[in-house]
Amino acid sequence: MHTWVLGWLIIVAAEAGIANATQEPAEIWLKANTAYEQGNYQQAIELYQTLLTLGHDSGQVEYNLGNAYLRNGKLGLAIAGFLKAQREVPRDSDIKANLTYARKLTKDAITVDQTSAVVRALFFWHFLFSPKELLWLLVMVNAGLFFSLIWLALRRNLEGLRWVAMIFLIMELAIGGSIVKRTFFPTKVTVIQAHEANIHSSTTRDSVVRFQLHEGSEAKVMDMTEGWVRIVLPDGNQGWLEADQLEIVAL
Amino acid sequence: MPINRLPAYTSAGFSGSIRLIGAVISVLTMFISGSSLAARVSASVDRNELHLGEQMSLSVTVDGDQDAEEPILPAMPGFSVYGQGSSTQMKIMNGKVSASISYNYVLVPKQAGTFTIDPIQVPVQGQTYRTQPFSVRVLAADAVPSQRKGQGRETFIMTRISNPRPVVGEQVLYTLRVYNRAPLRNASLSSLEFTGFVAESLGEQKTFAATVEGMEYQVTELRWALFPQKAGHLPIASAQLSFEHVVGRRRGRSPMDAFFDSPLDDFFGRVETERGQVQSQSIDVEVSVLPAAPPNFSGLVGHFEVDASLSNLRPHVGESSTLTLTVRGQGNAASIGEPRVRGLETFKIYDDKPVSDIQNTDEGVRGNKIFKKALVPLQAGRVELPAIQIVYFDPSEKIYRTAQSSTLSMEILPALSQEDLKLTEAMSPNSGKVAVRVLADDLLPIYRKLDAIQPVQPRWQFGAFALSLVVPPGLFLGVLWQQRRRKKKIEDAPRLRKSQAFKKAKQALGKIPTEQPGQIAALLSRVLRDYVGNKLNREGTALTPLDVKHTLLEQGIAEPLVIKTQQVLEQCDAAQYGLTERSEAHELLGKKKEILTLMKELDKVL
Repeated sequence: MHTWVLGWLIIVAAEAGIANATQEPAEIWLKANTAYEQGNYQQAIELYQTLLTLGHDSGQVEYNLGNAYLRNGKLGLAIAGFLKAQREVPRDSDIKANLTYARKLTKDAITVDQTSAVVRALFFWHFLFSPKELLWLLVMVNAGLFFSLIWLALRRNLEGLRWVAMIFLIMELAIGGSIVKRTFFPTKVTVIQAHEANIHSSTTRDSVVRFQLHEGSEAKVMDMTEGWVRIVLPDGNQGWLEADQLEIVAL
Repeated sequence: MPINRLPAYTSAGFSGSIRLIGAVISVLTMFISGSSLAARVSASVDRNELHLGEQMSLSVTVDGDQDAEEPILPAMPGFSVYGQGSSTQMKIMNGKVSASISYNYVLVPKQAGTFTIDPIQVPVQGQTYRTQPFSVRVLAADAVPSQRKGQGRETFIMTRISNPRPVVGEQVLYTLRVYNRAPLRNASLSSLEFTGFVAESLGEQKTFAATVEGMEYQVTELRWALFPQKAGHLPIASAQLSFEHVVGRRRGRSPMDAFFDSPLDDFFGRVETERGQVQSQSIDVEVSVLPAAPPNFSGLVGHFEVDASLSNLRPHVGESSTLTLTVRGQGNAASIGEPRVRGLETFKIYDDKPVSDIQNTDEGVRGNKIFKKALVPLQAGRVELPAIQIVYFDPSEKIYRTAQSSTLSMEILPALSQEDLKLTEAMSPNSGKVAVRVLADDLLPIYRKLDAIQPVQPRWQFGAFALSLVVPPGLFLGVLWQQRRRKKKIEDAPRLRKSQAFKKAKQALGKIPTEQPGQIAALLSRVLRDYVGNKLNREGTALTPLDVKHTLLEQGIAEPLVIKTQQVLEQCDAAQYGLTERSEAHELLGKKKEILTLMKELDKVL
């Protein structure tokens, strides 16, 4: 009897601890939203960043941070925030709309490099699900695959079960490939943070300035070395710029 | 005023590729209307700012009449004026023939200062045309001799910067001049690098004459506008000019040589040249940071103005009025951003794309940007739009200034119809459908729900996740292993049975009780039968002594051993059913040893 009471008390104390631990981030969240609505965008930015530092890096926090940056005149950081939000919550139409709006405000006439519709249709899961969703899908498909294999091993006469196992296998390879791509070979996109950034022909400030980009412009990362990043535009133009002038987002 | 005629000055320039510069300032006369001949008179100078010792060119052109009289120049006490003759030109365009005549002059300043050139009069067919007055600024003699050190007298480079101590973003003018007395060939200038600056080339190169220490030079000038991007020491490297200059002709000169001098001498390589190189001094620029900026500083450095206007000051509700904001000035005009406009809460706003016009002039980069917004008022009443402000840094005064437009007042009249402002418009009267028109664009609101705050994943969840991936294949492998083991067990049963036959038989022999003779015989018989059955993977209890004999013979066992085995079995069977005496039971126990020996012998061959 005493053991049961003690166990119950431990559980209650643990839950109370858990409740206290989650209350503080919620307070920060509410304060940040209030600051945003009152027009104190800098304060809202600091509070959203605190949440990210504490590990609450959901797509909604990144989205709100992007909004605050944009209201505060930081177009480059806003676009980077929206891209991160879209990575976490890929199907959210609000994030897509705000990202489109922010991109309209950029100065450079650069077409954002979008993956073709054919590739998006063929590998729809890679673009439709967030990394966490893909991991959970992998767990379920993995379980489905091996339980169907176990059933096949025990009862060999079910021909339909072979097809089920084959489908699970294909799904597992597809989802696993997507996770491997995102983890080890992510597409890195840069967003220019400086008001005006010089793109050089090599990794020295003395080298020829090939062209200039303005805040909010996006480009793909080709290489990184010693504080310099090599970027390429959709039209093929490429060059080097200093890493402190841009924000890199891994998609 | 007297006009001194000078012999024509032949310019040498770079590889014969110098082109005459375009007009820096061009002034036009007004047409005298009513004339059917419609002549146009224009006057142009190659520059409006020069140093003492330099020259400027003045050209007065009359289009439409080649018989215009010579212009009447006004008094120019600050200049010596030298006539350079006239030139005529005929053009045929779209079948129409037009002619023009230009009168050319060289003006050499006598003193420094700013001079106004009064209108130049040109009589054309009994009518007199006048140009507009214009100003020319003459600066003190340039510090050419000190810069020329180490470069020679015939050819040298001079560089200059308008302000060696600018602030970040301030426009400074970098001027490079090449002075040469002798004709130059194959001249090439090293590419200039303006590290730490954004550089804008200011127009084409200019060519003019200048006098330095009493010697005439042909000067070629290039200019750039530089915008320092960061504070600190920013050196501008020296410029190098490589060239060849003519030192003579290959054949001996004689009085008759002038007859044989040919423009093709160059082509046939009959002139001798000598390579040369000169280098200018580098220029050190010390860039300071801007002073602490006010919160609404626009980032502009220079001199700027802002204007605001409305196309319609009395629109009706629902009727648009275009607000035009123009920011213009000199400096980093390319960085002009849209000014903030307040007081538009009761309007629907449509932003148009800004239009910019940036020009690289001799005085530097200047330009303007025009921002237009269509304002659609939503309610009637009087609206005062506060003045538009632009805060910029004035580098000449080293202070922040605020350029301000005038305030704008609008009187919003009630809507022409009683209907509210429509957000849709009918596609056609008959379809009954309306097209949805997007009126404005803005950010969607932030996310507010608390479920955005997801708990931070504890470490054990990663382990649980990894486990959930590993467990199903682990179970599958376990099932496979189990199945394989069972199969092997089935396949290996006879072998197992055979290998354990002797061991089991020996154990069984050891367990045979000694009290009851009938039982002993039966057990002995069974042990032997089971032993043979296990060895041959058959049911031992079903084997008769004759079956055992035949089976062992089939296995190739030697006949004596087979017979002996058969006999032992028959003796056991006989004893099983007929034995009663205690002594015979004792004999049977002795059979145990015999059976054991027999099995050992059989074990060797089976």
